[in-house]
Amino acid sequence: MHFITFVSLILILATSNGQAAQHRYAKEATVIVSTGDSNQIVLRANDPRPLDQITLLLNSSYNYLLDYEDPPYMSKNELTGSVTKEWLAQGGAEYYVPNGGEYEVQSSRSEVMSDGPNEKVFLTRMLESYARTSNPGFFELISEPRGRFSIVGKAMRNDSGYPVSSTPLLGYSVRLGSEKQSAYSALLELVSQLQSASGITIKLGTLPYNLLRSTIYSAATKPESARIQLAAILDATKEGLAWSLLYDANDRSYVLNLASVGHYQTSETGSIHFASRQR
Amino acid sequence: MFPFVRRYSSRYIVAILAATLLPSILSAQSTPRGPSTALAHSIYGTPDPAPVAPMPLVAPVFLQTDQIDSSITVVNSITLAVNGTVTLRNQAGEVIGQQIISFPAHSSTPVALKTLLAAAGSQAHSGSVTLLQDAAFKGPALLAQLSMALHTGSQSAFLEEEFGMPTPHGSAVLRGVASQTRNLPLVAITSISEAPQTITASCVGESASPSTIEVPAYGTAVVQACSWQAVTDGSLNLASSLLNANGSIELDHAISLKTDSVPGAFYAFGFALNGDLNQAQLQPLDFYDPGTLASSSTVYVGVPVGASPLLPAVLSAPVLTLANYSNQPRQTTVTFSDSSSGSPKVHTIANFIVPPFSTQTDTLAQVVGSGLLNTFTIASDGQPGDIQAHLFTRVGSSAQRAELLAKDARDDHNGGNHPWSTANGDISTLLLYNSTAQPKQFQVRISGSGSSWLQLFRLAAFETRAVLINDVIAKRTPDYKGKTLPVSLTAGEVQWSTDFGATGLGRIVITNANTALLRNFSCATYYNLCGATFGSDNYEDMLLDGQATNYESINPVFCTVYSPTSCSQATTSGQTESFTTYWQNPDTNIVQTVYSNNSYITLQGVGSGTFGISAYAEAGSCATSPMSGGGTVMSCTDPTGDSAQAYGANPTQNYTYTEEFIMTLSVPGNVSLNGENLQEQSGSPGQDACYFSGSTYTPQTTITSPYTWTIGTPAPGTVTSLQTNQWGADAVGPSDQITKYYQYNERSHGGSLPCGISVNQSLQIYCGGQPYIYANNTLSYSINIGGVYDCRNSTCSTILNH
Repeated sequence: MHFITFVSLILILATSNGQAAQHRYAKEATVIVSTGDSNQIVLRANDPRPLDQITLLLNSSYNYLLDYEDPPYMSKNELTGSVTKEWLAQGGAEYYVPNGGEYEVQSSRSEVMSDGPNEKVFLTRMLESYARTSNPGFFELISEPRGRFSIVGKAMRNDSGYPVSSTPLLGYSVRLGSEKQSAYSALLELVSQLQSASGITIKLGTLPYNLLRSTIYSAATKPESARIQLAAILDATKEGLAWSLLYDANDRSYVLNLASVGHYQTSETGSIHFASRQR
Repeated sequence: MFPFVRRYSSRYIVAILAATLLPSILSAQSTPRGPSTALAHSIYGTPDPAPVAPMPLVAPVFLQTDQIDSSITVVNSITLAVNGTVTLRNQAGEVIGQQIISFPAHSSTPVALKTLLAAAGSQAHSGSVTLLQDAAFKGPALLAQLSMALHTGSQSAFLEEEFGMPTPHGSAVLRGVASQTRNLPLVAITSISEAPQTITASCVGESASPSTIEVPAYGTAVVQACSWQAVTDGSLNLASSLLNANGSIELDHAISLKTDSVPGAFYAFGFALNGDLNQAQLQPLDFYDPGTLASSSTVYVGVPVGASPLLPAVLSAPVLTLANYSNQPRQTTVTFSDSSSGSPKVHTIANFIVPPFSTQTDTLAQVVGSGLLNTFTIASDGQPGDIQAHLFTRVGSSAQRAELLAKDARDDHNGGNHPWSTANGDISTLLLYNSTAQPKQFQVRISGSGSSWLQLFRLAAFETRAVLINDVIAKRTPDYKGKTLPVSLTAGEVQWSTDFGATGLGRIVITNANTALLRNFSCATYYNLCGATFGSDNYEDMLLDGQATNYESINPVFCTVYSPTSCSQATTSGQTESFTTYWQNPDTNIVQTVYSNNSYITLQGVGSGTFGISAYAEAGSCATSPMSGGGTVMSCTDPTGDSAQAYGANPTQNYTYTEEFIMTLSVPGNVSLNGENLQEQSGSPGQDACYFSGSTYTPQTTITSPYTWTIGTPAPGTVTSLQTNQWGADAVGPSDQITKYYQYNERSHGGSLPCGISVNQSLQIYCGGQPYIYANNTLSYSINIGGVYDCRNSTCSTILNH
């Protein structure tokens, strides 16, 4: 707790001085097992987007299929400069990222590992505990069909530090053409319509091109939320694909990243491979 | 369950198919490939009698009150939906609820009795249940278990009552032992006869004379054990009286029931209350027909002991009660087979001499095993049924117990069908036990929602093996053919079987740490040969030259009837379930027989070409007609590697910094592998040196998603044609936005340009269904100010900014 306070202080000072924050983030979220009770665990993240980092951990280690969406951060209360001092000294422009840092949630192993209702209970409790920290954004849990959940940014702080609600980007309704097309084409169509409906630029990040362009997809004819449409496109690939929709405050755009969920396995011969999960 | 309760084989469906597909069977016999089917016939020329319809499954008692909910779980073990008539009767034998339900193929279906009663407008709190499957199915397909959930404490307690099917091939006696109960058990005696019958009831060691109990036709008498006081639903709320009773001393009760009617005319089940009202537990009292026992040894498979992640709490050492129903002292030996450390260790842990007409209870404190891999065998001298055993373990400090059904050590069932669940934290563990002194092969099929997973398990002598269904699903464990179950599957049916009866035992235990749940399902199956199918589609039609594999399989069709001369509806009573398969392999220049047994033949390809295999099965006086199958041996040479050629960015897409690579396989002898599948996987973690914390582009250290190409067929949306042994295209490189993002932001965050990203790609080819990793590659790209440098190993291409 002292560490969190100290880090927060540095961030506030850095932001107020207009200088880049020098923050040591963790490469990935970790699981810490209680020494007294092996069933008690702590999930710990240290990242500009702590919940996104926890999401990756839950997807890889606990069999979740969990998506993540940033809220559109807009105030200095939730953003921090990330470029180096040297860059600024050369006259370079600042680049802002969410000012998250450490976050941890304690739970029992059985609760985290459970599926069905317990999974939802745990995620809801995690988001409630996150909202009590100074980390950026406020999030809600949305249940999707077939065991998929989304952690969706629903509000962010304004310059006065007060929460301001936002419309989640994937909450906009879109209608895709019902003709058969590749999942990649459907994804482009979805992004195009979503940009028109929201007025926000959406960029494509890491995508499984081979898989998307060879998957045939036919959308439902009725308008649906973009979130439901996106889940349907991804499910059509039969692979466990999760999305992270990350907000770039510098040009007020979103980036859509897709990745297989799964975990690394070591074979009998000692070779390591990534075992992706199918749907 | 002992053999007086008939259990059925899932394979019975094949008998139905055999009957309906008879004309095609004849043609199948002359067809060299694909599955064929044959009906069994008497090798002595004895005419087959008319088919006998299956008898109903019976659960003598259910309770349905505000505090107790009853439901039945019905397992359909065949590949067709089967209608079953569920009938509820009151103690007088009157129907108080009835419904015809369609049970889907290979399914486990819960049916709430509350719903059935409400549908019939009945206010009854208790009664009996029968389940009769559609008469169109000449052999049994449905198995069932009744569960009573007691809601008196913070968590529900369950009483499991397995449906039984009384048989005329046993005796007129049922015996049951209630161990360490605080109250006199209640016993429900249900008639399945259309005439009233009189039951003579007695308790071992009681000085009082035996009592007689009148049971109306199809009715149920509920009595308090040993006092034999009747409990009637009309004057007394059965469930309320049960919950209000509570004794203070734990006693044993060994009960004997004898009908004046024919053997198999009645069935019984009892239960006793333990614990106080806030922690009430119901203990089952199962009855066995001594006339159907084949041995004087009883086996308890997979007894939960100690602490284990699979158990909801720490369990005590087993408590064993022995009842001697004979007039001679009986010597009893308890053997413990401990498989917890891998190879099974068998110890004799106790010897008892049980005086005539007495009971005794001991805690097997010397058992030091933990978990579920503990099997106990209780063997005694004297006649089968003289000694009846009851074994349980206590769950923590509560009144809850882990109660198991006893199995006859010579039980000639050779399989079982059980429901399973992984929903809401349930853990389903199939427990198998090899009761022989030789290694034994068990076949396990896990089914649900149309998916199926089949694997063979080889158990060492006297080994107990646990198959954790949760792991099979979550870890995507491949079956023998490489198929996995979908992770969304949370319930279904599991079957296990061995080739011979009296060699293996099994059951399933479902636990839940959150709800302290611990339930057992032990329904066994009982086979007779009615026919067989040959060449299941579970096995490959194609064999690789030089490769040895389990090739043709023969699936015997067992059915259950009560005539010793029938092959189309054969007898089971007193006969072994064994069968013998005779194989013929005429094309030894193409394939050679490496091994064969009654279930399958292992062939090795020794030359290219087609071959035929024939076989027939025989059991007792029944044999099938010869059945023919076969296949092709193909020469399949694994590639030694491939070479890549860069074709530039795909002009039809908008990821124009991504290079399309086409690969050409190096195959010895230039054998064409066109049409075979080639799959990529991510290898060990790669590196994303462009990523910085806070980047809106997630780090890429694996292939974004595995993909499968067909050799010789272009991936959609890429090139238009490929030559022999070419595959692709494979897109390698970043999207336009990623490229521009890091070109602009990388140096400002302390990085430098070019920045590099690499992932490791493992390529495996499927030739004849067998995976083979032929290459491990590094796919990489580096982003620079002027463009991107995409590489597949050392084959690289630059795409300049545009």
